[in-house]
Amino acid sequence: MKILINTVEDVSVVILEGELNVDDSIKLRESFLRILKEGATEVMVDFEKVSFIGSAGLATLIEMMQLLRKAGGKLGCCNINDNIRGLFEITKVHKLINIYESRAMALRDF
Amino acid sequence: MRISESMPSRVERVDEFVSSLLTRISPWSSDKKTIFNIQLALHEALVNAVKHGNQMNDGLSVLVDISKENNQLTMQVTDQGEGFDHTLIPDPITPENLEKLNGRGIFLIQNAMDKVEFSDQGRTIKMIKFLKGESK
Repeated sequence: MKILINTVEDVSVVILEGELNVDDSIKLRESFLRILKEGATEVMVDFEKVSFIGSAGLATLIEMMQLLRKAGGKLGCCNINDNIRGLFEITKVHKLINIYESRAMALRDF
Repeated sequence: MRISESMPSRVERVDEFVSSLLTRISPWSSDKKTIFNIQLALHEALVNAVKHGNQMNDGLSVLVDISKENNQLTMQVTDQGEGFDHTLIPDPITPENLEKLNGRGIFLIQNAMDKVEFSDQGRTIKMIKFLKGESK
């Protein structure tokens, strides 16, 4: 999985490309802890190029949300495909994390 | 049609193993959601078998048996661990469990598949999916 992080008006935009499986969830967690250490409090994960997520990926997102909440910030996800959105809804993760249709809509809200 | 394979109990091997199995299963259905659900169930079952079943003991293997008959796909994943009682796993979508970082694997499998059964004291999980967009 490719992980690219940009900063747009104080929001850290994490752009993922590939499958968010076991190994890549560890990589995402490491990237996230790094930007958190650097002071990021508002993080938006762009799922446009993500085709798969498993329970390890969901756990990483929940942990990211918890750490950001503790730091007074927030986590959002955008551009989620129908399969992954279904997974978020079945597991009720969509009740924990802000979900946006597009990156532009997410950035307007942040 | 039948696929029988085994893999060592190493989490870092799961993704590659699922990918190789999926390459062989994908021609059996043209429905993307069906393939996504098969990938999800296989992935979660293998992670569980390696981590919780075999406790990541490199000397133990995980066996996978996949067959297709008409539109029914049957996948069995068996570990060599001590087994477990799946009825004791907490419901991950109750408010008190919603933010827990573990415990969603079996739940995801049950939602992705049409039928799920456990046998051999929890060492074997049998997952059945009725294929949509069936190819030959």
